[in-house]
Amino acid sequence: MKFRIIILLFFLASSLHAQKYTVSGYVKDAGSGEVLIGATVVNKNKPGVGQATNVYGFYSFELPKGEYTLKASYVGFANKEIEVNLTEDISLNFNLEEKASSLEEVVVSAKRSDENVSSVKMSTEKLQIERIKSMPALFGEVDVVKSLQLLPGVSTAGEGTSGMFVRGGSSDQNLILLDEATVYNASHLFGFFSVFNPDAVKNVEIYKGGIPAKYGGRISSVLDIQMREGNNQKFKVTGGLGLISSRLTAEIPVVKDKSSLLLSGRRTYADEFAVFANDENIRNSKLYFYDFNTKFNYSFSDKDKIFVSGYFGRDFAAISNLLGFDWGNATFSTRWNHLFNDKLFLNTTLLYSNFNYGFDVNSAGSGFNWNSGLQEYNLKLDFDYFLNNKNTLFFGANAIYHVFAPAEITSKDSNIQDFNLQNDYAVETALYVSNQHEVNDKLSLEYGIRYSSFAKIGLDSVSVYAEGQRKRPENEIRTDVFQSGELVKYYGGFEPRIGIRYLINSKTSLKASFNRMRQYLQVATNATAGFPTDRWIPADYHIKPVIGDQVAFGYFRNFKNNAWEISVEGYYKWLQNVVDFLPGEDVLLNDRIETAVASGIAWSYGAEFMLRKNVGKTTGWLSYTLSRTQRQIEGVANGNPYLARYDKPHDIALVLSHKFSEQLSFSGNWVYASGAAVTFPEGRYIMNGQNIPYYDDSKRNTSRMPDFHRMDLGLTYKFRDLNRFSHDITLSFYNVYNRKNPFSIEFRQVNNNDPNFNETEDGPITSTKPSAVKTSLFGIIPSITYNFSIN
Amino acid sequence: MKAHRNKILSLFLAVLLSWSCQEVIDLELNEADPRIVIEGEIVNKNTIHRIRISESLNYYDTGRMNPVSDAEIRLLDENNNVISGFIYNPQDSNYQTYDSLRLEIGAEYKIQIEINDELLEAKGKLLENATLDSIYYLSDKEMQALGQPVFGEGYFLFVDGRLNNEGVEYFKLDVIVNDTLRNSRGALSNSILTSEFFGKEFQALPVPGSFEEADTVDLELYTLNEDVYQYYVEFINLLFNDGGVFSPPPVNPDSNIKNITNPENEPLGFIQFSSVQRRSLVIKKRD
Repeated sequence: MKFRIIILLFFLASSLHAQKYTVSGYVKDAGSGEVLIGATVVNKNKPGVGQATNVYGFYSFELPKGEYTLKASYVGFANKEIEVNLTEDISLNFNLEEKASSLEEVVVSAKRSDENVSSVKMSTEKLQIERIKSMPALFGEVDVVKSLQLLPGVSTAGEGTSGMFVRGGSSDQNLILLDEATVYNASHLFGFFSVFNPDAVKNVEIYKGGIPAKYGGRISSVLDIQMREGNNQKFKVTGGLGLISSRLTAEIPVVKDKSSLLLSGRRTYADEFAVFANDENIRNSKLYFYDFNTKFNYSFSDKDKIFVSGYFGRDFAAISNLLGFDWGNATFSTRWNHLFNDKLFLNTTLLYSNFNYGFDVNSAGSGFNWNSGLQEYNLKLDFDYFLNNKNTLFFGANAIYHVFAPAEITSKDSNIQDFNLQNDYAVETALYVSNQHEVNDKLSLEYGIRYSSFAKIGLDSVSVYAEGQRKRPENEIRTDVFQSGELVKYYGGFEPRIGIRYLINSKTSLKASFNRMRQYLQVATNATAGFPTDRWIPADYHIKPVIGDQVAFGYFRNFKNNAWEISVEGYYKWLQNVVDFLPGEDVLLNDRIETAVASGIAWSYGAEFMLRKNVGKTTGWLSYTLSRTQRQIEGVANGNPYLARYDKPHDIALVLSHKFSEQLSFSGNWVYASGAAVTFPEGRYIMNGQNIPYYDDSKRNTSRMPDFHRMDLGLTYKFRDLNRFSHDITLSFYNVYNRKNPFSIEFRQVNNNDPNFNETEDGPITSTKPSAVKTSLFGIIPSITYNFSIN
Repeated sequence: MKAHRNKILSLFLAVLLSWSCQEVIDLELNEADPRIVIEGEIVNKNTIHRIRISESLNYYDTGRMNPVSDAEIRLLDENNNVISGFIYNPQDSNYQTYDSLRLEIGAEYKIQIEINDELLEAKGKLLENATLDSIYYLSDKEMQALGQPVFGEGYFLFVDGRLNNEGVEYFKLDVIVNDTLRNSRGALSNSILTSEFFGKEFQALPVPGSFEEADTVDLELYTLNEDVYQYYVEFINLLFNDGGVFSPPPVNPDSNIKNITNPENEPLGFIQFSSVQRRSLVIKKRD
């Protein structure tokens, strides 16, 4: 009923504006034909009237009959103006030329210059891929996710790792989308690199709060990454050679102005140097990854376009010929943009996402293969309805079929028996509607609601335990068997979303937002960093979905003609039904997961400060986050509240970039964070001949690692172009002052006060002491990367 | 299965460590009151059974654990009849039964300990051991000739046999080479076995590690109750816990010794109830 009233109100509103005509179309890069996301088209005579393009480069707005000068603009591109005499609805496309700006005009932001203040969005960050590429990186490997970790409210589990912890959420609470397909494991090499090849990425946007109703399924953040489409004007090849990997990308215009194909791949080769290692285990081992992105698009007309894109990545690790391990994601997206009329835009998306891993064990007498995977089949309908200049309506539907195959073990004619863990099946659906409402010049709202549901279906067999008893096999009273497709358990509920922006003046605004999110899948892991064997578990008969609510407030101000931005945001987030492992339990091959986990609550709160400069020779930002993240789960730490390991009260990032000339540029980062919250021992004892520390089981994470800080510097020299060939070289230094940041602190016996003591090589043992051994991963690491482009 | 995941993780960490450095640091730690530590083994064979009770140490203390000598210990059968008491032997700081006792396979036993005015209790069953039909060895060259993967040089032991109980069975396999128990944390990790993914019969089941010519190898196979197996699993997890992001938060292994008087005050350690069998062989050179 509510929906009907809302829709009726919109139609009434629409009729009030019936005397106006609609201007709509696309904004594109004239050089490559790629659509520009977030470009603005406005009436030059009255700049308040206009629209920003959506992720497909489409805009639409209304003007009364008359003559106008319409201006399209996008950062890094020359503005384009077109005069129109509006007597009817018109379609108007803008092709913007990339501008060769002077140093003072350099802009490093993927958003409108005043968006910080004017947009109703808050807790949202867009990073321009060129900005990400300019940052100094570990081993020179540009990494989208690690760049995001420099933003306020986004933190990392440990040095070098690419997992994200957003506003106190765990790493499985981030919805990571690549061309709208869910990426279930977004990291290579156990989390040290992310799966996103920067050469194939066009747009990166992260929502930490105020999440629009079109997104759902994860409670902490949405990382929305769009792949580039490829140049439909001319053939282009780009590539790079780095310390540990190389990249190559080809952009092929299939039909000029209508169709293009992008092919992009990279592969690490660090393991090829392993033959020189002293350690025999490393010498006989393999550890590498590769990934491949492709995207094809075809524009039938301005009304119909299709996009087909895919990602395929794989990691390999092997110890001699005894043990092999490989894992990877595959995603496939097919999208059809259809314009019903100049106001109604539909994107229909068909997605497939797959993550799997496998072990190959050749040990004599106990050889086996082990395969595990999950698949997602996803259909989405997303409508943008440009109702009038004050209301843009977004609505749609989404249906996902999930298949989880946690383990299939096949014997290799050995003592190991074939073994299968029961597959899980589920259907997740959602409907949403939201409205971007410009109430007046001061007040802007974005409000919406999403209804999501999750049906766990058969085949399934469910253990039912005695009421009031702990879920243990000995307390099972019966097993309920569900046939294929039969409903096992249904969950569903509304997820209201609202965002408010009040413009104090053209330079200052106040914003607030609230969102409720429901998450039906969780990763069952008791470690902080993700591992490929971590098991995704769906909500089921025993495990309820996580529900997360977040409220945020912010103050936003721009200075000096929007060259400087400042923002202060505060948030409070509270979660229900968060699961954690019971001590000593493991779920890897557990077919009664409910016996190994317990659920409880979590909460986090914090304040984020950001000062950013987007324009000029020197650009960058300084951010500071003050935060706290806690959990309380029955059965863990005796039911007492405890800090999450990734709780970091203080987190500072300074990101700077300076362009000395057209050829030479500098970049640098400095980060500081409180040490991770960890558990240190209270004593030790000897058992089985082993010295072992013991802990106070009523407490968790009450101690702190030493603080973390690091500086990285980079220098890029762009050589003069040679005809159609351009190239540059980047020299970067990771951890330039060689800070020995703690990756871990281990409590163990140390001989001769040397943690790496080897009795065979280092002589007799003269002392043995229980010690705290700090491992620091990366000292100063210089790297060099060469990039080229052939147009 | 989890061991294979850990091996891959170890490889990865080894690669990482090639970029890393380790150092001993001064870290201030809480000093808690000492806790009671109990380690005991009750087996079927005709022997004196021993239990050691000590007090834990502050983490950085370099001395030995102080023995606790004023406890009262008794062994009971499943009907709570006392079979034997224990006396404290200051020579080896252990409590021991008065005489050698042969305990019955298939029977359940209980140990009661009175200490500091609290009653502690552990119980377990002496399960029937597996049947080991044959133990044999192959050299690395012989394995290569058979097309089997080999990691390292030397001789490799294999066992044929069968399991004798219903359901999943648990074992601890001690490998003693030339009268020295292999007791590194890696060896301990490899010694804890489960039949969860095995059938009732096994052939060419590898014994962990490699051996050299003329080695005298003694294998001691202990049956474990599930709670003690779980204790070992958690104990080994803690031994390998490096405090990093890939390790779970450290927790004490769940003891099978329960404090009846004050359940909140569980001791550290465990008492293992096992049937045990021992096999020996000498590695001889192969032509």
